[in-house]
Amino acid sequence: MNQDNTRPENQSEDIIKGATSGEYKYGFVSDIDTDIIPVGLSEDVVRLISAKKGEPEWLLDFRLKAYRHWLTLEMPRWAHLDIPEIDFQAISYYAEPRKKEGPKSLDEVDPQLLDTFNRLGISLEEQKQLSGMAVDAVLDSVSVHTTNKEKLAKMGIIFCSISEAVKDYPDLVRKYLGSVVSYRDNFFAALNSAVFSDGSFVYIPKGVRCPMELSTYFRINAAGTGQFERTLIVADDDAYVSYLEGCTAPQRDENQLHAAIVEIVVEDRAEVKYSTVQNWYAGDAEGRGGIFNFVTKRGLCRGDYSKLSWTQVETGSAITWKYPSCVLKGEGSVGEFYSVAVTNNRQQADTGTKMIHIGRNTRSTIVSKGISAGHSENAYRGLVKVVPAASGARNYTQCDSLLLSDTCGAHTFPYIDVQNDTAIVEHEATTSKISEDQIFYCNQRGIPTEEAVGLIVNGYAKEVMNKLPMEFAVEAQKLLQITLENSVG
Amino acid sequence: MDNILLQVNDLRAGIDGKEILRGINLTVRPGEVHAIMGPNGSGKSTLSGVLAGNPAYTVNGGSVDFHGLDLLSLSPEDRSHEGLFLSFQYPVEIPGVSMVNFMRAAVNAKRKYFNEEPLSAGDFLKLMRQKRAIVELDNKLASRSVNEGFSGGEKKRNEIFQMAVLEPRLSILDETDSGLDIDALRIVASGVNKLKTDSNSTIVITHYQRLLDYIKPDFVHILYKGRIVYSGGPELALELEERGYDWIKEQVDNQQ
Amino acid sequence: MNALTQYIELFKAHRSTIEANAPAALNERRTEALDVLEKCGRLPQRGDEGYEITSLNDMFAPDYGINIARIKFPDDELSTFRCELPSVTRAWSMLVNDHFVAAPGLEQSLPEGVEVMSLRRAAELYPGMIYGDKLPVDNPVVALNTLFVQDGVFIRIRRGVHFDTPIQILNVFNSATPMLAARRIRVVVEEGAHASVLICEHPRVADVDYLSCRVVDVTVARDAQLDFYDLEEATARSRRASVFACDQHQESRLNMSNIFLDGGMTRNDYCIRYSGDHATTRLGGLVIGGREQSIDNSVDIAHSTQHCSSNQLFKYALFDQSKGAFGGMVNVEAGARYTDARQSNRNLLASPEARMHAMPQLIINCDEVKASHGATTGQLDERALFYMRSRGIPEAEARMMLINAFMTDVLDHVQLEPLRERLRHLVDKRLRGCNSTCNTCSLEKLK
Repeated sequence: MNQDNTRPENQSEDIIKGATSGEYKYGFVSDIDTDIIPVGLSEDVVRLISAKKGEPEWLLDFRLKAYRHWLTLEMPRWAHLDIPEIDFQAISYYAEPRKKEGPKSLDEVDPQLLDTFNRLGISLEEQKQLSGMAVDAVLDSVSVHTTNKEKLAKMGIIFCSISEAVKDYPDLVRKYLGSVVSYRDNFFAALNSAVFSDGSFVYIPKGVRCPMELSTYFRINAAGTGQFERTLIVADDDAYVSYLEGCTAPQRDENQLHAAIVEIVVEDRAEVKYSTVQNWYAGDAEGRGGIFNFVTKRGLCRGDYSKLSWTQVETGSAITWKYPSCVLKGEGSVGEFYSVAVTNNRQQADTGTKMIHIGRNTRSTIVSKGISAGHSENAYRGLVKVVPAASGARNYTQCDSLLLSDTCGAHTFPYIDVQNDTAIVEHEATTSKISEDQIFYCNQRGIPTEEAVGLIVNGYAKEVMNKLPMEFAVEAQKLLQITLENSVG
Repeated sequence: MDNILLQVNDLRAGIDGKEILRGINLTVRPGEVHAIMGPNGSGKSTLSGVLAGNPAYTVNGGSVDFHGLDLLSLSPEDRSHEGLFLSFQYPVEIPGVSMVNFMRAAVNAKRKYFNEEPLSAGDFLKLMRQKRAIVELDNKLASRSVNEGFSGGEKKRNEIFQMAVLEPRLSILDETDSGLDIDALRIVASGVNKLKTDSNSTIVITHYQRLLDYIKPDFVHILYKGRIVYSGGPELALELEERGYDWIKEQVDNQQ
Repeated sequence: MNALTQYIELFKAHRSTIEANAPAALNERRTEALDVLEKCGRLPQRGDEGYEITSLNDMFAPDYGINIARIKFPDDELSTFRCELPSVTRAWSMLVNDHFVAAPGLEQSLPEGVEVMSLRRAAELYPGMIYGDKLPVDNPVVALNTLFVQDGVFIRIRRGVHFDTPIQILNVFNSATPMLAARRIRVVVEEGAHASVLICEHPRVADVDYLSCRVVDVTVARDAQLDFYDLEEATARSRRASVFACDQHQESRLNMSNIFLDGGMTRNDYCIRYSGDHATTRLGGLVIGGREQSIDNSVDIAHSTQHCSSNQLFKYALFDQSKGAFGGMVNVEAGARYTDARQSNRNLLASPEARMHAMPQLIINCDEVKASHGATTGQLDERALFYMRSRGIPEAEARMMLINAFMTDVLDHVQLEPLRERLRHLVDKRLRGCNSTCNTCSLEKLK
């Protein structure tokens, strides 16, 4: 190939590079007066957190057990990740926007805080008016406001912060907390169980279809803190709920730790849809700063014919380590996992799912789309396990990786363990480079390369994006484009 | 029984706990051609599946006598040996099994059933050659895996080829016309007609009248909601072609 | 219990005997191997990453004897032994335990430029050629083999020589007491040469435990081709830990097929490395597992050069309480542009107690690649079964035909037609044998 011929190719590579170096638009810090406890972790800190929240004895016990267990554990090393040493004594485990009393209405919420959420595109005020969605906003460690609570309450739906739930519905919380993700589950689950600050609690009573999307926005604002929220969702018999989670954090050149737990219990014939658009700050182009996102998410399809569907669009975080999972215990229960994970610059993601087939005729579907650019590392790791009792279990897994640069990595680590001869388990994976033919075709029709990349990537991810609720789909689509393009607003 | 090949009495059957056939009665004598027509979802394919013994279906009641045998008690392979042939609506692709091995296994299993020696390789190939001519089936298809990579027309011709080889007493053609262009349809139909004798019978299951222009039925039955709701001569098919199924549906639904 | 310690102690106590009974070139690397093992501390166990069903620790734990003083076993084998593949070749030899025995007239049956000899002799004739450059010395099985190896087979195909007849090695085990054989097979296919090698693993005695600790060390030079067939037909009491390592040079071609028909517990590692561009690799695996057999294939392909292609196809049919595992690591390193890596693992669970683990893995660090993998575990196609039955084929026969058909594409990889047909026949026989003899895996019962 002579010099002249190679030039356009190089040019288009440059454009792809340019197009994939977008900057983070949620990287502002809000000037909110925050109550932060000193850094470090000890039994006293655990007691302090519990005391600050005025928790009952059983919850303090739970935290202390978890803390003591955590002390016996080491941070996991097995993921395909390069995790710098984390000094768990250099993190503050509790940060709370300072206020005189809990806000009774939006008027009492710190205007700076409202501004923060408005800049995130989540207007609490508007959300309150529009009945399309109920929003719980969690800033740093504390749930600051939940909208539409009253309306939901009329139907018997509980949607509040987990701290309120501990006070108002202690029996429910006690019954379900830790029932899906035990504090013994893993290093970060133990840590979270010891120090979790807040999060959302959802209970949908028997036979109720939640009429609106429930949504939580998580935001880390304060410097030098970690966020350890905990979400608990219970869908009783024949109930239905769709739950959305969004996350952002300011741009800082230090790493911040986010170690959350999401537990979901799905009873007979109930259905839960859990959607995440994760856009924590990913660090800069050189990999300075960014959130370490180490999350344990698991749902138990306890009831017969229950269904749990995870959809995630992962674009942020310096390091992501999460495997939203389904334990399919009820007969005929269904688990789904739809994921788009985009990594750019120095980001690392190790994400996937576990589908544990225990009940008869359980079904699971996994669709994972990894997109890697820059110098990032993007891995799918998944487990499909069919235990001997799970007759008639069926799994279909498809995981595809798209590479946008020659310096990134795309990896696939599926584990398939089939112990029942009536099960059918299928796994397909492909890895390919973004098609130059497609880019050229777009170019020829007048679409510039960076737009073409966005188009192609969105098309590639469409199967998953279609699973998102409308309100989120548009936002997620934009986010994909922003992560990969130079069109930051 | 006076010369009856197939006698279906109050046959009820379904799939996955759902009842589809709700009492089918049908009598077929040697040499007759019966057409079973009906709108989508009426139970046409279920009927052919149940008669051939597809384990996916459950029989809930009724009986089927096939020249003196209790058909429903026989395995699918014994039904085949006893002369029942089903031309599948969707012939199954079997990668890795060549047509030749497949047919040889079928032919010799039948011979064994009747205590006959297996065919020699030479005789078998001669038989194949002979029967292929009936449906103008390409020789090269014989070396391929069963139905794999066959076009829609080739698959259906392959079904009729197998019918020719196995020489059934009763052939059930399940939507044999679906997915065929006019030329392929003619070849398939002429194959069926060539195989027609005074002693064998045919049940043609079809949605459209088109196939019946080529394979002339003696009787036409209309299947709706799991029952034969109307029976008549060949003119009934023409009437259906003209008027569609709605008038039948209305009549039946009003009665209920 | 740590099985490794006993081997390290055994080696240290008897090093002088081992080395006195082996050529210098084989003694050269023992210190390095000892280092590796001492660093390992222990052998991999079940549950370690990549060892989902096999515990090398348990495999090596029994108190096997090792014939380090090279006491001669009676080798009347040649006159009495019958292989299942008799008519394929005249160019054959045996490894009785780890002792090389040439067939009568072996040398005459080999053309000029083709050498098949004992590793001991080769170590003296060609001391510089008895190790491949890419042998994974860190692998514990390779290290253990290196510690104890005293003999084996050496095959050399000189530059430009094409030898169509497969060179057959019968691996025979013969001992009255439990024994470990550290076998090594070294194959060098020089530039532009072309050869095929067939290894058959057979027991001589069925009621004695034995462990074959085997290393196959292959170099395929520029523009050369090697077809390698590995047939395992051992006994319930046999154990095998094998490492097949291949160094492929520019434009070289490797076709490897492993066929497991019988045995006890088997772990096969395949380690493919590239020293040049435009090489192609095809790995095939066929497993018919029954009884309490445990069959574990683990592939590790590292694409480090450009324009290479690798294609893996592993198929398992598991009956009874058998366990299968497939691990397939394809690593495309940065700079390995225009790599085409494909991997397929298809499994049939044919009994309620059979179990299959699959871990197909892709690590891709380069964007100009085509990589894919697929893994399925399931049953025979019920529709196909009914279709066949409706044509009069009895159910058991139909199942047999479908299982055979399921396996057929692995055997399609076998280049040599007579060999392919023999192998087909063996697979068919194995499936029918399974059908007629053992009640627990009678095919009629299968759902």
